[in-house]
Amino acid sequence: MINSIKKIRRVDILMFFILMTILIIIFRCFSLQYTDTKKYSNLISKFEIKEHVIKTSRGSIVDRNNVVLAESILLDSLIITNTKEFLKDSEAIKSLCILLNKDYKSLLKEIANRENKSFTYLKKGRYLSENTTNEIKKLNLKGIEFIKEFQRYYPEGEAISSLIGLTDFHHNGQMGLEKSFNKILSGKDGKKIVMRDRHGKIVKEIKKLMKPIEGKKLFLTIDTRLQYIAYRELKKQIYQVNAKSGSIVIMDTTNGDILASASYPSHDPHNRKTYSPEKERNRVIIDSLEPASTIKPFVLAAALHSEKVNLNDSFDTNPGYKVWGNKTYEDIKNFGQLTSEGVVIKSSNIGSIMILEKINKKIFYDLLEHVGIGEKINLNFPSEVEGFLSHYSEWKKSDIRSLAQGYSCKVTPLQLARAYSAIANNGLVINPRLIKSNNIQIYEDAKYEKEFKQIKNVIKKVVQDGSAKKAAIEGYTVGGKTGTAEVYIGGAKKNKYSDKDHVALFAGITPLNNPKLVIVVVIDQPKSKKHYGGYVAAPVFKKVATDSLRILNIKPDNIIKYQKKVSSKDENQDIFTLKNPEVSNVF
Amino acid sequence: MSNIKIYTILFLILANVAFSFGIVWLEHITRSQFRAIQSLSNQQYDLEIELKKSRIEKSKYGSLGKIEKIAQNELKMYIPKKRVLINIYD
Repeated sequence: MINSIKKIRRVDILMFFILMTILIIIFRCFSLQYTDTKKYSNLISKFEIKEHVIKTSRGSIVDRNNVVLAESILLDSLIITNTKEFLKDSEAIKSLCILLNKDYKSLLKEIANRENKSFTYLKKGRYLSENTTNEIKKLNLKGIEFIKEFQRYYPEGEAISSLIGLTDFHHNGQMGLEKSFNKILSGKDGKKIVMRDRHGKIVKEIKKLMKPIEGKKLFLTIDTRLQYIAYRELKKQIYQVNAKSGSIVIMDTTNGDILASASYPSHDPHNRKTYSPEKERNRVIIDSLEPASTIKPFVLAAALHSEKVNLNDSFDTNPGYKVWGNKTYEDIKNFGQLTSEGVVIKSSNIGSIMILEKINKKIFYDLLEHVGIGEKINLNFPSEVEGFLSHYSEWKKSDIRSLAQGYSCKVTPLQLARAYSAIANNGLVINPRLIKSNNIQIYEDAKYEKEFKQIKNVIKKVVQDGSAKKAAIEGYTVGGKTGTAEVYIGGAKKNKYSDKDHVALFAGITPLNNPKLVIVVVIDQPKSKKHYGGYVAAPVFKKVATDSLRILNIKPDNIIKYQKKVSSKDENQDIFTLKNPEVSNVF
Repeated sequence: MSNIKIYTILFLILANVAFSFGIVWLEHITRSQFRAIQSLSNQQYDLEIELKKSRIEKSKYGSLGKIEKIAQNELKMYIPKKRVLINIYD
C-alpha cells in the first residue's frame, strides 16, 4: 500500500513539474507576445532580414606598362550621427579640430542647426588616412561614426588629367576617359539577403540575389614617361613664350598607338578648385585648327601624283607677294626662284599656291581624304571633333589658294599626326588608338607610295636647311614641317584673320630612316617676338623627341655625322658646364 | 502508468531538450564560422585595398616628375647642355 502511494506520488510530482514547465513556457510566450511587445519589436527591428548591397570598386586605368593612372581605394569618412552627444566633450572636439586641421569655431558653425539631421559630413572629414582615423578613434568622441567611401586617385596628376578626366562624388565618370568608358569602369553592385543581429552585424547570408561585377581595368596605349616629358616641355614653353594654350601628341607610326597626349592649361584632379571648362579640354582631340604650312608636303605630294609637277620644277615667287583676284598673298620674305621642293623647304605660300593651281583639285582632295584630313578618328572620347574639309566640288579659286596655305580646312593635332604617319609609312594610313585592346586599323593603299617616299626626303631637308632647323636632333634623322596659322577672328569681322595672334605648329617624324614617332606640337597665341612654328614649336619637338627616343631605347640612325660635329675641344668642355635645371622654373 | 511509459516520456523529454541544445549549439557553430568567413573576406578586402594603395604609391614615387624633382633638388643633378653619342662598335 505504502509502495503504491510512493509510486503515485513520484508520478504526480513528475507530472506536476512537466505541467509547470509547460505553463511557464505558455506564460513566457504570452508575455513575449502581449506584454513586452515594444521592447522586443525594437530589438527585432535590428535583428532582421534585409537586402544588403555589395559595393564594388571602380576599375583602374593603367598605361601601356601597367602604371596606374587612376585607381579607387576605400577610405574612412567621419560623420556626426548625434550632434547633441557630440557637442558634450568640447576638449575632444578641439583635439579633433587639430587632427582635421580645422578651426574650432568654424566646426561649431558647420554643425549648428543640424541637430535634427540623421548625419552630418564634416568638411575635411572625408577620405581620412588610416593614421588620422585611428587618432580620432582614440579621442572616444560620442555621436560620431566612420563610414567607408571610395576615393579616386590620379597619381600622375595634372600631366594627364585632361585625358583621363574625373569622376563625380557618386563615382561616375564626369569627363574624359572616365566618362566615355564609365560603363566598363564602374562595374555593377551586387545584392544579397542577410540576417543581422541587434548590433546591425551580418550574422547570416540567406540568399545571393545578384553577383557583384567588378569594374574592369582599362589599358591605355599611353606611356606615362613620354606623357610627363611632353607635358613638362609644353608647360615650360608656354610659360617662356607667354602663350595662351598648347598641345602635344606623340604617336607610334608602326601601330598607331598614342603614346602621349598632353594639353595645357590643365588641372589638378585632386583639387577641384583648379578645375575650369577651359582646363578640362584635351586639345589634342577636341580642338580643331587650321594646319597652315604643315599642309604643304601634301600639296607637293598631290602635285607629284598628278605628274604635272616634279621636284625640280621651278616657281618664281618674286617679289615675295602676289595678287590673285582682289587679295594679296605674301611670303615672310622674297624667296625668289624656288624649286617645287624648295617651296616646301622654305615654306613659300606663293609657291604652294602656284603648285596647287597647276593640278586638278580632285587629286588634292583625294589625297587629303586618304590621309584623313577632316575625318573623325573615333577614339570614343567625349566631344571629339571631326575637323573640316569641304568637298572639292564646292571649292572656289580663292578656296584653293587658302587650302594651299593650310587654311579653309581644319584638323585636330591628332588628325595631323595621323596624316604625317602616312608620310612616315610611305602612304600607309594607320588609325590612332588610345585603348590597347582595340584592333590596329591599317588602311593599306599603295597609291601614294612613290610620292610619300619623295616627300620624306623633302621634309628631311626642311629640318636640315629649311624653316625647322631647331627641330634637328643630334644622332637621329628628323623630317618635319613648321606651320604658323593666323587666328581666325570671325564674329562681326567675318572672314578676318588676326595680325597679332598666331598658332605655331610643328609636325615631325623621327627617326626618318626607320620611322617610329610622329610628334605634333601646337602652341596657341605665343606672345614672343618670333611667333613662327620654327621658333616656338620646333624646339619643343626637339626636346620631347630627344627624351622620348632615349626612353624608348631607339638607336640613333645618324650617329657618324654627329660624332664629327662634337669633336672640337670647346664643345666637349661645354658638356660639363654646370647649368641650372631648365624645369626648375616651372615645377 | 507503467514504468515503461514513464521512462519513454522521460526519454522523449530529454531527447527534446538535447535536440534543442544541439540546434542552438549548431546555430552557434554556424554563426561563429560565418563570422570567421566574414572576417577573412574583410581581411582579403583590406589587403586588396592595401595593394591598391601600394600600387598608387609605387606609381607616385616612380613617376618621372618625382624622380626629376629629387634628382634636381636633393641630389643637385642637372641635365647636360649637350649630349655626346659614342658609337661603341667603332
